[in-house]
Amino acid sequence: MSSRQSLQLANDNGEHKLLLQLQKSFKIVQQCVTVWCVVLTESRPHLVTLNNLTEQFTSCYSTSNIQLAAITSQLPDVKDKLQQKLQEGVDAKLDVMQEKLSVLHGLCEKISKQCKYSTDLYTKNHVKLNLVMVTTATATRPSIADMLEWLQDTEQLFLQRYWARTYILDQFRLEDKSTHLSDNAIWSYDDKDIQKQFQEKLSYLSFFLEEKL
Amino acid sequence: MQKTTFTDGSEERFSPVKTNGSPVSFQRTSSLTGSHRKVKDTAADLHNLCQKWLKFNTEGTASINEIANVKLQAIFKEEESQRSEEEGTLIKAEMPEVLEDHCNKVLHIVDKMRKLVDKMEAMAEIFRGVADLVRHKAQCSSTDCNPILFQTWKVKDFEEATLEMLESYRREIKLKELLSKNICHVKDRDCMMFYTAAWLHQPYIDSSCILLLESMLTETGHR
Repeated sequence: MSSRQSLQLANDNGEHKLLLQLQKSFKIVQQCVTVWCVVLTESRPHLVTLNNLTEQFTSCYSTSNIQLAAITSQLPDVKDKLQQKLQEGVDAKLDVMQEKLSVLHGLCEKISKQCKYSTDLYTKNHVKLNLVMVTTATATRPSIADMLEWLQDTEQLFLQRYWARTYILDQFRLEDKSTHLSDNAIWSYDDKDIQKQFQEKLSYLSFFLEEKL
Repeated sequence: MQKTTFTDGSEERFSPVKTNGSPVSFQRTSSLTGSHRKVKDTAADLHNLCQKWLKFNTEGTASINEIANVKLQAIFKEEESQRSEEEGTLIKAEMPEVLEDHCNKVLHIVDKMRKLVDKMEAMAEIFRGVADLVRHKAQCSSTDCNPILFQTWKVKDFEEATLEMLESYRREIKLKELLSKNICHVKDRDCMMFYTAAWLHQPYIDSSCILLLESMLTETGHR
């Protein structure tokens, strides 16, 4: 009996549907991971500019009028004016970062949705699916349980990174050096580790993703 | 859609956004004469001056950054020599000769920028002259003493906009002169950062300045 025939027989217990959904989910997640890394690469130059501007603001903020006496004696408002300009520059860059974050949020939602669809389908059919069927891997694919777990792990990982970045950006205060992104590890990540982890899983899934179910 | 019927029987579709504007706004550029010609050309010159200013500012930024790097290295060496003195050895911290070259370059750039501000003052004078002429003509021939030149702006608006821009550039050139004269005497990193940021970001040339110039160009039909 071919694997296609056996899957068709398995239609009654929902295994076929679940495998189809998992295949679709992993394909979408694969696209999301690629876009995720592209977005982070695009946001890097903006992050560098933001860090430069915050560093300039900090220096400007911490310099006293006595240190700048040669200038402030003739142009007393120069420090305020410069701070205002730097603030405008920082605000513009923060807006860009927020835009990038909203793209990341969209990707997270996409992944979560796929994860939910697959889990819901499994929950709906779990009575009909027996334990052996769910936990046994075949020559061409990992077990359903493994795939569901990978999907949920990936979702959690992406959500974790997204919320960490959002929290850090929300905490950003120009006057408070400890909240600046230059000292922050999360924003310095390019999330290549996520991509690598996912690629490792994909190597087990390559036949499954190409298979015509 | 509402239709208007004219006495000759022709119909025209009604458009609430249609506006005739000033007749002058429809004149072709080549046929402009008198005050319009003068104002339009001066607006274009003003734009060119601002472009040159930007170019000089970029050139100056490169030199200022070089100075900052040299100075920071010197400050670092000085701190090191102080430490060595305390330990008993003597390392003499000297300013590299290249610093003088960079300083001369910056002074030269500031000089060129000062000339641009002088030219800008001459342009403000031109607008003032046109405005005076229009007022004088109005007194003689009892016409509108402040007519719209192109689309919405009067001569007085051009004069005021240029004066506002000029004031910003005057203060900016003052700042640049002070920066160029004092940058070599800076003694700490934060101060140096302030100097480079002040040169790069041009605190006195704010967004309103750019808006005024762009409005002037739009008004005169350059944009």
